[in-house]
Amino acid sequence: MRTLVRSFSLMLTLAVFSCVTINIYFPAEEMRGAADKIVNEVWGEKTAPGSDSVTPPPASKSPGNSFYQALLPSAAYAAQDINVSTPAIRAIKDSIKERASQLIGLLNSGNVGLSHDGLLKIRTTDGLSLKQKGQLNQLVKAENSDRLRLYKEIAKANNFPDKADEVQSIFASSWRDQAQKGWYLEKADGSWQQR
Amino acid sequence: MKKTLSTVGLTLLALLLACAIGWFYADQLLDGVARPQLENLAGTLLDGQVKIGRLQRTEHGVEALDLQVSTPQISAEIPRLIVNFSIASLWHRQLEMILINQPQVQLKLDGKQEPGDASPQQSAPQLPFSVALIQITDGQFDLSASPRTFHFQQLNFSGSLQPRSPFTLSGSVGEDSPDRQSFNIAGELRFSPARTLTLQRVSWQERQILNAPLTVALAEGGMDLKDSRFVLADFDDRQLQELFNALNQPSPLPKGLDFALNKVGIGVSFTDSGAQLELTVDSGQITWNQFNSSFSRLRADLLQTSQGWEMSGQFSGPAQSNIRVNARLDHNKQWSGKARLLIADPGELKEALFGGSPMAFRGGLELATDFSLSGTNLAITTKIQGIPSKEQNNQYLLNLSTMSGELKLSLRDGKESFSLALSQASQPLLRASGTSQKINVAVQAAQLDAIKQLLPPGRIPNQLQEAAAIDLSGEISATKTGWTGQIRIAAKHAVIEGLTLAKLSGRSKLQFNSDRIIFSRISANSDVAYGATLTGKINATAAAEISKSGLILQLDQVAVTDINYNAEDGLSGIGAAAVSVVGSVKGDWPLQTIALDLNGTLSVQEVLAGVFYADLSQYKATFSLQGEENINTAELRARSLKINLPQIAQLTAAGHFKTGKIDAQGQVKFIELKESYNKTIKPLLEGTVTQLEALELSGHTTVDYHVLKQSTGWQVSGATIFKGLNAHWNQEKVAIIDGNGSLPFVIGNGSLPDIPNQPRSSGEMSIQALTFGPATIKQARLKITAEPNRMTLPSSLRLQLADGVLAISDLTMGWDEGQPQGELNINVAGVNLEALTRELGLPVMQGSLSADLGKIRYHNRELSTAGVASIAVFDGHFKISNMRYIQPFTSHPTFSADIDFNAIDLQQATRTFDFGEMNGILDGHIRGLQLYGRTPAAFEASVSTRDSGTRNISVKALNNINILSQGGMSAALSRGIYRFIDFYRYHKIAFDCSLVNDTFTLIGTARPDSKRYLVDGSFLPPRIDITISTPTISFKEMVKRLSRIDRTSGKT
Repeated sequence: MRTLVRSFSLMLTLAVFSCVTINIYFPAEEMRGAADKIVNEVWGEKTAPGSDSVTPPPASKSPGNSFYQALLPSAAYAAQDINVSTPAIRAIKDSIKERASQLIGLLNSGNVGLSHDGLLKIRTTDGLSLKQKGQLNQLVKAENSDRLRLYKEIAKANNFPDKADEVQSIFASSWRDQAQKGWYLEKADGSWQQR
Repeated sequence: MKKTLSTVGLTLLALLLACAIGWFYADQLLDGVARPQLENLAGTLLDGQVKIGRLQRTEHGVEALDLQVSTPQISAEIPRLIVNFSIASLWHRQLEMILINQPQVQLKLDGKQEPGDASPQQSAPQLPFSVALIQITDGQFDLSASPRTFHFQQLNFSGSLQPRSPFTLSGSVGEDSPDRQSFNIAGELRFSPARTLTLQRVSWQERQILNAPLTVALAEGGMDLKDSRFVLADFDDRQLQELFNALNQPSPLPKGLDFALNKVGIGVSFTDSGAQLELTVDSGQITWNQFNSSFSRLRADLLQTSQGWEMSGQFSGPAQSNIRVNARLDHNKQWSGKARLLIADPGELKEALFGGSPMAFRGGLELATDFSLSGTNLAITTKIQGIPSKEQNNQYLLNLSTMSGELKLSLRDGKESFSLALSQASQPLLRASGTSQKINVAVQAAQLDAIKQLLPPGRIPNQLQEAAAIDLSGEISATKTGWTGQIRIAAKHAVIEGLTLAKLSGRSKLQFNSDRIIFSRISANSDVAYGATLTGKINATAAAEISKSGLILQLDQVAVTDINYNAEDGLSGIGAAAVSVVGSVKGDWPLQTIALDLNGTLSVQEVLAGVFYADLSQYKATFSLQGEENINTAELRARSLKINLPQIAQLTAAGHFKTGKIDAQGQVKFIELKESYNKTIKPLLEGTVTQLEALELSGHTTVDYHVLKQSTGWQVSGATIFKGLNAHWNQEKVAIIDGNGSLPFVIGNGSLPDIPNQPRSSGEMSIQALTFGPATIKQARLKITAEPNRMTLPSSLRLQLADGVLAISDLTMGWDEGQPQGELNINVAGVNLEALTRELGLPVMQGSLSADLGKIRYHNRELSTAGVASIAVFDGHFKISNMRYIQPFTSHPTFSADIDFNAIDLQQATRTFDFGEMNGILDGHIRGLQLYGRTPAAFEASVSTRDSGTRNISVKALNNINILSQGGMSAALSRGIYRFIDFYRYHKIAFDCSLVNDTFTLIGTARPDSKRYLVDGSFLPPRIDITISTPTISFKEMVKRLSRIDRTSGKT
C-alpha cells in the first residue's frame, strides 16, 4: 500500500511538473506599445514624456485557476521590456523624425500613402513636377530604408533578430492606427482607402 | 433592180417571139422589120432606148449582136445574145437556151429605191415561158449606189428559168487586181409553191462562209426576208476588210480593232410592226489595242417597233463574266437601256481584257447599269455590288465582296464627268467625282477595320493597331505629262505599336505620271502619346518622290516637341524634351531597305530616374545617323551614329540595332574631365550620388565599347582609356595622380547564346602616385583583367604606410545579384604607430601595427574578414578579430569586432589620452563590440591590472574613474591632507562592463569578494577605493558621464 501511495505521489508530482513549460514567446503586445510610442514620437504630436524604455503591460494572468486548469500545460510568460532605444534606433528615429514634416505634407496631399507592410508608398504623383517627384522619390526611399533598418534594429536589440518581419507587421498597424484623417491607407489587395 | 431585170427579160422574150415568127421570112424580115419593132417594144417596156446592131437567125434560134440597152437606171451592152429554141419548145413555152456572152451592165440605184422596199405581200408575175439553160459568160456588172460603185467582173452564170432552177454564179468583186475578191455561189431559185431563193453554197475567196443553206423569199419587187436565217462559218475582221476593199469601201471598223467570230447565225424577219434581227455567235475574240476579250454564246435580238428599235442581248465574256443588255433606240436616235454585268473574277477579267500582271481580288462584282445615248450625250449610272467569293485565298489585292457603290458617267456637249461613291460593309468609304481632267477624291473610314476588311490579312502592318475617323481627300488635275494636285489626310487618332497619334493632319502637293509620284510640300502635325505616360507633338515638313528606281524622302524638318514622359509608378520621367531631325531617306520601291542620312538635335529640360533628378535645360545634344533600315525586319544597320553632348562627351557608334537585339561598338570621348565632370556631370549628380560630391577629376578619358544585346541578356565590354587622370576624393584622402592606361570592363546580365566564349580582356594602368589615406604608392603599374561583371588585379599592390607596408593582393571587384561584391587580401607590416597616429591626427601613440587580415570580402553590403589585426602599442598588444563592417556606404554603418589586449602600460596609455596618469599593466578584452558610426551600441568588456609592478593613480584619473562610476567627483580628494597628494597607490583596478540594450552595466571586480570595487586601494595610507553606487545606468547617462571626464592636458 505504501508503495502504491508513493508511486501515485511520484506520478502526480511528475504530472504537475511536466505540465509547467517555459514558452519564449514574441511579446506582441509589448512591441505594439513600443511601436505606438515610436510612431507617436516621430510624428510629433502625441509623444509621451519619460523613459525610452517602454514598460510592458502587466503580464496577463494565466487563464483560469481551477485545479483542472492547473493541471493543463501552463506558460511561464517571460515578462520582457521592449528596448526601443539603442544608438542605432535613436539615430534612425531622429532621421525619420527629421523628414516627418515633409512626409506629413505629402500624406496630407495624398501623394503618399501608408502601405500595408509598414512602409510608405507613392500613391499618386499627379500635380507634381518632375523635380517634386524626384524629391518625393528620395524622401520615400530614404524613409523606407530607415524604417526597414529600424525594424531590424528593434528586433536585434530585443534578442529576436529573426522576428524583424513581425516587428514590421506590428509597426504597420501602428502607423495606420495613428494616421491622420484624410491620409490614404493601402488595403491588402493593393487598393487605397482614405481614412 | 429586180423590176429592171424583169423588164429586160420580157423584152428579150418579145424579141425572141418576133424572131420566131419571122423565121420563115428570111433574115431581112428579121433584121429589117422585127429588130426595130423589138427595139421600140423593149424601149417602151424599159422606159429607155434599146438598140440591136443585128438580129439574125441561127441554126437553133436567133442571135442578137451588139445589143444596147439604155434606161435612166440601166446601161447594158451585150455583144452577142443567142437564144435557142424550136417550134416544139416554143409550143411548150420553153426556150432551150439563152447564151449571153460578155455582157456589160451598169445599174444605177438612186437613194429612194432600196431592195427592201418591195412589199413582201405583193404576188410575183407568172413565168411566160421557161428556159432550160441560161448561161452568161465573162460578164461585167457595175452597180452604182452613189457615191460608191461596185464592180463585178468575170461573171459566169449557169442556170435555168423553171419552177425549180438551180444555178451557179461565180465572179469577182473589185476593180483592181489586189483587191479583187472571187466568189462562187450555188443555189436554187424556186417559183412554186413559193418563190424562194436558196443559197446552198457561198464561197468567198474560195472559203465557204455559209454553214447552212440560206433561203429567202422573193417578192415581186425583190427579196422577201421574212423569217430568213443563215449561218456564217468563221468571220473575222480581215474578211470584212477584204469585203470592203472589194467593194471599194472604207472599213467601218475603228483602227486597231480586230475580231474573229465563229459560227455566226443571222436571222432576219419582218413583222407588221417592223423588222426583227436575231444574231447569235457561238464564240468570238475581240482585240482593240491592249484590250483583248473573248466571248461566247452571244445572242442579240433587234426588234423594230413603232417607237424605234429595241435590242436585247447577252453574252458570256472571259473570266466567267456575263453581260445582259436591254436597249432601245427611238426615232430621235436616242439610245437608252440597262446592262447587267456579272464578274466572277475581276482580276482574271482584267488580265483577260488588258493583259499585264495578274491582279487577284477576293469576291466578284455585279454591275447594274442604266445608260442613255443621244447624239454625243452619254449618261451611264452603274450600281456596284460586291459578290462573296467561295474561295478563301488570302493572296489578294482587294476584297470586293463587301463593297458597294455607284458610278455615274456623263458625256454632255463634249464634256465628260463622273462621280463614284463606294461603301465598305455599308459604311461610306470613298467618294470621287470630276472629269477626265480633274478629279476630286475623298476617302473616309470611321475605323481602321473598314480598310482592313478591304485588304488581305497582314497588308496593313500589325504595328498599326488602330485608327479612327480617317479622312483622306484630294484634288488632282491632268497635265500634259500626267496628273497634279494635292491631298490632305486627317485622322482622329491612330495607334502604332502602342504609340497613339491624335489629331493627325497632313497635306501634300502631288504630281504623278506613269513613271513617278512626287509629293512636295508635305506637312504633317499630330499629337503623340504612349499610353498615359508619354505625350508630345509632331510637326513634319518634307518632300518625297516615288519612282521605279525607288523612294527619295527629303526631311526638311521632323520635330517632336513637348515630349513629356511620366512612368506609371511616378518614379521616372522626362520633361519638355524635343527632337528635331533633318536629312534624307532613300530606298527601293516597294520599300525593303531604306538608306538614312539624318541629322538632328535632342534636348531635355528635366529628367527623373528614381531618386535622380536633373535640370538639363542648359544642354542640347546633336546627333547624326547614316545607315540602312530593313523595313521588313525592322533592323537598323548604323554605319555611323554620332551623338554630341556639349560640355560632356561625344558618342560614336556603328552596328546593328533591332528590337531586342543590338550589336554595336563605338567610343565615348569625354571632354577634359575638369570641364565635363567637375562642371557638368557632378552638379547633375548632386543630391543623388552623394559619394561623388567629394570627387574631383581632371584629365582625358575615352571609353571604347562593344554592346551586345539579345532577348536572353546583354553585355557591354570595352576599355576606359585614361590620359593624365588626376582624381581626388574626400579632400585628397584618396587620390590618383597622373594615371595613364586602359581599364578593361565586361558587364552584362543574362546569357548570350550566340557568344559562347565569354570575353576576357586585360589592360594596364600606370599611376604616378596613388593615395589611400595614409597609404601611398608611387610609380605604380597595375595590370587589370576584366571578365563578365568582374575585375581583377592579378598583381599585388604595395603601399607605403607609416614606415611600413600595406600590401593589397588578389583584388577582385564584381557585380552579382544586383549588388557590388569584392574581395582582397590585405597585409600590413612594420607600420610605425607614432607616424600613423600623427598622420591620422590621432593622439600620438608609440608602437607598431601589423595585420594579416586575410581575405576581406564585401558581400551583401557587408565587409568582413576572418583575419586579425595586431597592434603593438603602450608596450602591450591589441588583437582585433571578427571584424565586420555592415552597410559601410550608408548613413548608418555599423562596425563590430572582438578586441583582446594585454600588457598595456597604463602610464603610456593615460598620458596619450589625457585621462589622468596611472601606472600599471593592464589586461583585458572587449567582446561583441558594436559601433554604430562612432557610437558604441553594444559590447562586453573585462579589464584588470596586474598585481605586480608599480601601481599609482593620479587624482585626475581617480576623479575621472569616479565620474564614470558614480557620476561625480569625489569632494574628499580636495579636502584635508588629500589635497596635497597627487598620486595614490592602488592594489588593483578591475571591472567588467557591458552595454546591452542601451543599458550600461559596470561591475567592480578589483576585490574578489565584492562587485563594487573598481579601484582597490593599497594597504598603505593614504588609501583610496573607488566603488560603484549604481552599477546599471542608461546609455544616455553614460554619455553624460563621459562628457564630464576631465581631459585637460597638463594636469595629472
